[in-house]
Amino acid sequence: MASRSMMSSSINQSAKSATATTRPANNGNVVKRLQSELMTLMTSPTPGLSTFPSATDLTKWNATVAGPSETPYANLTFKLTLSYPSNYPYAPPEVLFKTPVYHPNVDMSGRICLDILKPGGEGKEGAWSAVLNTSSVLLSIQSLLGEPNNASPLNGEAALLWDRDQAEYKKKVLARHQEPAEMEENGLTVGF
Amino acid sequence: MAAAALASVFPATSFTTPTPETTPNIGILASPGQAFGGPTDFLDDAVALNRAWSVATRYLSLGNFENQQSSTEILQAIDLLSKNVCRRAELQAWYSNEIATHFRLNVDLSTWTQAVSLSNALHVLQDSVRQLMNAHAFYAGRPNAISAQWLTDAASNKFRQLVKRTIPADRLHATLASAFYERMTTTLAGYESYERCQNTGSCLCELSLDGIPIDDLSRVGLGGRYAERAFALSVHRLLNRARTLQVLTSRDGSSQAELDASFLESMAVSALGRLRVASLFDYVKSWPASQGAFYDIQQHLASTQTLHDKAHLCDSFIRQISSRLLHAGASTTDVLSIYISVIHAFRLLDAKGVMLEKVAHPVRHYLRGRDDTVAVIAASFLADVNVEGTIAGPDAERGCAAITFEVANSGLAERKEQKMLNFDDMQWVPDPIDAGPDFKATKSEDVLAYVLGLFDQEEFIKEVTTVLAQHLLHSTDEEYVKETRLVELFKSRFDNSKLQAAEVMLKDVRDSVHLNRRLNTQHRRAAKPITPRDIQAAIPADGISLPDLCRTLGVVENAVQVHAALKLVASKRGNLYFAKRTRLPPRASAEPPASSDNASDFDVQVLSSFFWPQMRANDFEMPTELADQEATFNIAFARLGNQRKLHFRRALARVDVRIELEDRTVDEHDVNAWRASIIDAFTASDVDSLTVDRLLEDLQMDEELVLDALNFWTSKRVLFQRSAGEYAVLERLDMDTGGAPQVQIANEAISGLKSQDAVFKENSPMFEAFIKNMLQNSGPKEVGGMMGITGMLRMVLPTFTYGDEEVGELLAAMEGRGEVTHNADVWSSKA
Repeated sequence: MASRSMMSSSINQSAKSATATTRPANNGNVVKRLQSELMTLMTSPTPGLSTFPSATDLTKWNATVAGPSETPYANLTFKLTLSYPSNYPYAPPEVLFKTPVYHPNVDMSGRICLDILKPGGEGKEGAWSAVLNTSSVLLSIQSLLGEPNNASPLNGEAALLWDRDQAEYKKKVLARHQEPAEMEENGLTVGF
Repeated sequence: MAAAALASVFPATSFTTPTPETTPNIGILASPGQAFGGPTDFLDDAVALNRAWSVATRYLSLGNFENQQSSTEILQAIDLLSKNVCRRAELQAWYSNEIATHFRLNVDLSTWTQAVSLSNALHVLQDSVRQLMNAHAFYAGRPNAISAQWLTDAASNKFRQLVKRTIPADRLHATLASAFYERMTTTLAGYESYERCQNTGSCLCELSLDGIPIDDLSRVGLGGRYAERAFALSVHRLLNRARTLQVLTSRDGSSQAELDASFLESMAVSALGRLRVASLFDYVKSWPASQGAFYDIQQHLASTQTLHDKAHLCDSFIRQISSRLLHAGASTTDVLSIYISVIHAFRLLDAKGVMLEKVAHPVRHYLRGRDDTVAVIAASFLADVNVEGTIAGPDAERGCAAITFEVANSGLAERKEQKMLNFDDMQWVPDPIDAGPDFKATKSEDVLAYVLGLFDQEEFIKEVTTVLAQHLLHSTDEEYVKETRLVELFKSRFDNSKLQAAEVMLKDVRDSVHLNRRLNTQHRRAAKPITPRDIQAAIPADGISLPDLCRTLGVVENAVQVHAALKLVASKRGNLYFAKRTRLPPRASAEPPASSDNASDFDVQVLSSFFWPQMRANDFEMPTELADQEATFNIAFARLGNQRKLHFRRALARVDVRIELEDRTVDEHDVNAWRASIIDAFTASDVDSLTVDRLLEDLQMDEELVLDALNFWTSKRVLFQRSAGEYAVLERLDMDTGGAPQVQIANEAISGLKSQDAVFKENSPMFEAFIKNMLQNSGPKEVGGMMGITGMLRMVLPTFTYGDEEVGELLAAMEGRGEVTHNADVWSSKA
């Protein structure tokens, strides 16, 4: 009589096996985990964040993040791509900005310097952990936009400007930024 | 100018008038004699021919009648001319011209210049034919007299040509046909006695064309093809008039028309067939009573053997059904019944099924478009048919009797080997020539296959499972014969594995029957003492023996309590017990005995939730007795070594309720548990009346259910509404002041199972969120196709088993809220 939903069962499964230190890569499990994450994202959406798998591959997602208000990025829309490794969630997804961003922790090709996007564990500098998920990653990136980590900048100029001249900083941000529609006009890809 | 231009293209032929006899042949001017002694044969010939021409033309000239030469001279002249090919043709042309001139001047056919009235047709015809006959005889007379057949032929040809040119062909047709028709109806009028023909067993009616100069007509060139067509026209008209006419004609042997009786007969059959086709829809509707009409049409199709007739029939029928059946006014049940009739009827017409394929296509297309078709079919499969052929039971209006009937009469289909090429198949025949490209030879497909073939298997099975679940929950048959048969039937037609859920459901209910039997015997042993009241009720007026009594009560014979109670209420005389005339203290006024009287009546169906459709999960407080029994059952179930955890679906429970009021007793069977709970609340409460709010709170029940229960009991005149939202028990009928509202609420208004539709509605916010995110992140998309919205949803969301149509609904709803927008087929997110 007890009916178990697909979602809860797969979460239990991953929680159980989270104790194992090494485990074989299993694409089926990744897909299952991603399906359950997607379900959570869809049923309890976070305002300003939206994400969905690409048409071809369930392990490659496109995401849209709204710039946090009261920051230079307010009212801007950012496109990102996430690709999940085959041992996800034991390794972090690879996240890239597709929208050109002027930000201390984002380089010219959209790579992001964020601790939780680097493999974690003993002897590793990163802070990724299997309890994190797509939603938390996107939230972290969104808050990174408003609160850059100027201690380890990828874009030194931006880090300096952030502290010195917010008005100039904002000008630079707007100059670099392109809305998704503009990007498409300019022939840039916005996702997978 | 114009004449000159015309003449340059079509040179006018000029004809000489007959040469006067006196004019000598002067020969050639340059050689009056035989001066040079050259060959003279040529000159002699020319002179002879000239002379012969002169003689012949003078004789043949239609203008003069005297001046006849001696016949030998003429014969010689004609003979001479006929031998010279050139002169012979010239003479024919000359004579034709002569005839034309004469015809124009002397034959009066002015009546044909305007339309001939029907009544006048015969008269005009006779008059014209007489004139023409005279003229013809006149023209042919002279050549005939000298037996120059070649000239007579030329004359006849020219004459016919002239006649045709003078009388317009279509007017001639019409006139001839009317003349024929009139003659035939007049002669037939004398015979039009259907009874006489029937008595003798064969038709004695005769049609005659007396009075119409058929032979003369053909002689003057008005017969032949013209007359045949006109005759056919008139017969056609006649057959259309006399509907069920079996025509046997006696034909004048001299008639030119090569018609015989069998041909006319087949014409009559065709005419009848065509008439039948015009009202084909009515025949289909009244199938099988109209079988005779279909035999007529069948014969019609067989007699002509042309594809044209079949195509006409199909077209006509499609037109009829699209205007009379395939619209919103017809109920799905009706359309389905007609569909079944169409299948039967057209298979009678054409066993190969080509025509059926053609006409069934629009119906199928339409049925697929209707939302409730699958539900109706599924309901029909499970319905009962009684002797009259109508559906019995509560689902009567939902099912389609025709389908139910087919199900009852069908056996299990053999699984056919669907091989593309079977070289050993000696029965193989090519597809019929009029078959469409998607025609597949159907050998033994029965009507059910056609019905089941309407839909996608998966969709159909899903819907059937829902209906089956509902049916199983309410079924009273402990063996589940019908349901088993149905599942077997589906298994023989569908993919076996797809019916797993249905099989599990069936097994669940069967197991439950066993389980109940086992657990209830345990209950019986531990049953609480039989009350004296029960015993009193069980003792009939003429006494009962102890073993019998125990059997009626379902207790073990030597149970101590029985003896004790028995002493209280019964007196023993001999071997029999008789009821004492003592009155027992009355019980509480409104008590739902439910199963509290008899614990053994607590039956539980244990269902495997994974395989059953989603069910109503409303929970509420049950009457304490029932809640206790649930707990008892739970323990007993666990004691049997079951690992499964039970969760009671109280909303699905049904109880028998007996309510004893001051002046009456109300018995209700199979009442939904929430209704019993509500009435129990009135019993248990010490106040007179309860409000809806209080009930909501006390029973933790959904408002929908509370209101339903209150309505139910009010309609049964057990409760009454004291004031708005406040109800009280109607102890005596005369207490009712307001008059109970006669609301007949449907017993099945709130069904236990969620329909597919409801599940979809419940989930649509989630689906919409998926679609919104998809469009936002993956860019604009079409609904269908490999990477379309539907495909993506199915990929990322395994529970999404719907199609393009449902996605379209979701998109439309989202568009209404301004969340998405679409450009042609491509949808995109607005945000």
